[in-house]
Amino acid sequence: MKFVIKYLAIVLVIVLTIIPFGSALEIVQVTGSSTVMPIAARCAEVFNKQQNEIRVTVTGGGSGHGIEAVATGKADIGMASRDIKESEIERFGDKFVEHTIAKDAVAVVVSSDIYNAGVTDLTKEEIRKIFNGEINNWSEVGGPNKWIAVIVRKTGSGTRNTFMDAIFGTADAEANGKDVEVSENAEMLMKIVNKDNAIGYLSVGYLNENVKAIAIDGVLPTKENIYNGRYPISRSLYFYTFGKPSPKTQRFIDFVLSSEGQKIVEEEGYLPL
Amino acid sequence: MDDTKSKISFKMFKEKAIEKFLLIMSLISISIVFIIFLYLILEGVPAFSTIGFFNFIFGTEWFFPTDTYGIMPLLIGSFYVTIIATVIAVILGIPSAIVLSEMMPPSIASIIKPIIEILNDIPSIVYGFIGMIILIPFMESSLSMVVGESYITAGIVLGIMALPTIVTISDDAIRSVPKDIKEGSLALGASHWETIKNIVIPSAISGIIASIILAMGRVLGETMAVMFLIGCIPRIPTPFYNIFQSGSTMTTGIVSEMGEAARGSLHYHSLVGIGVILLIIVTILNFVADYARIRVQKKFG
Repeated sequence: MKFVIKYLAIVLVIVLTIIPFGSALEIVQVTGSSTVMPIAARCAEVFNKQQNEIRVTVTGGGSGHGIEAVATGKADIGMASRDIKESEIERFGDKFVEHTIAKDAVAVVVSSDIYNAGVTDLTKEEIRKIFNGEINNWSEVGGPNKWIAVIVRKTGSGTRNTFMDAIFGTADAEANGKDVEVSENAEMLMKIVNKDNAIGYLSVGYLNENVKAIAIDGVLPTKENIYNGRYPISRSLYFYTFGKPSPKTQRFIDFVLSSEGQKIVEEEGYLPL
Repeated sequence: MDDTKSKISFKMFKEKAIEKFLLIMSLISISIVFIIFLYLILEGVPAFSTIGFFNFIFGTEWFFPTDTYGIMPLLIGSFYVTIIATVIAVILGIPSAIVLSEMMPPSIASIIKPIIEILNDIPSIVYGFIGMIILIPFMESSLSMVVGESYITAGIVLGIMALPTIVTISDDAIRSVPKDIKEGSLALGASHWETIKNIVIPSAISGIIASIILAMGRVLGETMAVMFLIGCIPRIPTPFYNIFQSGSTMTTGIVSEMGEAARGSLHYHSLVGIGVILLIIVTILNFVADYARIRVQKKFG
């Protein structure tokens, strides 16, 4: 009798595990840029609750990772915070379809001690010199007498590409003054908040009361300045698909582009289209 | 009669089947080791052949947008972090092991030792997090470093992580020194400390060395904690002995770029190449530690 119960229990567990997979649930995998991730994750949460046929899962890893994953079929949608590169088209073929889902800007941020000491506006040239290690002390740009800790994102980050492109003129430049490299926006935020002498850059979606954006050549990354193009480091955020999106993928993209999806974009601190 | 016969043959069959099953499982475990070695070497070799083995090892720059792959900065980083961590773990760990095994009553030691071993169970990401929240700001304010992320910060935290390895194995080694040698020394009039210094430690030295080498292996392979604490910048410090600068190790070098590397590109093969070098170093360390352990076993049978 005991054995019968035991085997029944095992069978029951196996059956219960298999049933959810057996049903007609379709999975849409989304991966890539950590800048786009908050939008996609929040949209997926709402979208998953609304219907029962499609499950959207969202993971991070960087724009480059997202583009590679979608091209190699590991994901249905690759999130990217930059345009696709020539080298990527060369490697995977020209089948990428671009879906612009939001607007974003890269804000230059400093630790609150530095901000409160009066460094609230830097010129593009000053920022370039700081990141290149030519300016090493905050006193050189009107701040307190403190060494500058330069925090950068890793190669492969779309935020890094956009920033380097706008400030250094080419996305593949190297910031020679860098002291620490981080791999996510959230990690950047943490380092800037925890230090009293740091400078870095963040997607505006990650700004909060603890980190404030400084103006570049007198222009702050406000909604207005980003829309009218006066703020120099702005960009579009993309969903990439490889070839025409499948119906399930298209449904999620449509949701993100709908007024409900665009409201989420705004709630997360980015700019709707 | 027939019934018992079939029962016996069934039993024999069961015995054989279980034996075969165990054998197959152990063969699978062993072959996994070989598959890992083979895979790493096959995937890493293109990097050595394209860049040149010596250029790969002694190259001083690592910057993938220009396809420049030299792992000297990473080797130096791993070397510094390992040395700092080992020194810290030895300074804290060996005295702890001596106190635990020689000076404390066994009832107390049996409580203290598990507490030290808890350090081993804390996930490395937690060490990294604590280091980032507490140690980095402390280093910045007390040593007025530009950034707290540095070889020394990573080394301190890894030293604490490696502590239980050294304490546990050294403690076992010291305990396995036969009582009659110790008692002989005490009977001849040597003090407790003289006995520890002249008899116990020299007898247990191979076990202690094994514990140090195993700890080094653990530190070399550690990744997540280091990522938060070292800054992840592959460059040779200036001047080269400046351990208060941010840098990168072999493990963090692999982790921070693997997601970005396209499979089959030179970048990818170079990252696997770092893995090959790391595996070779760790394997050598493990062999040395095993050798030391075997020696201690032979000594006391």
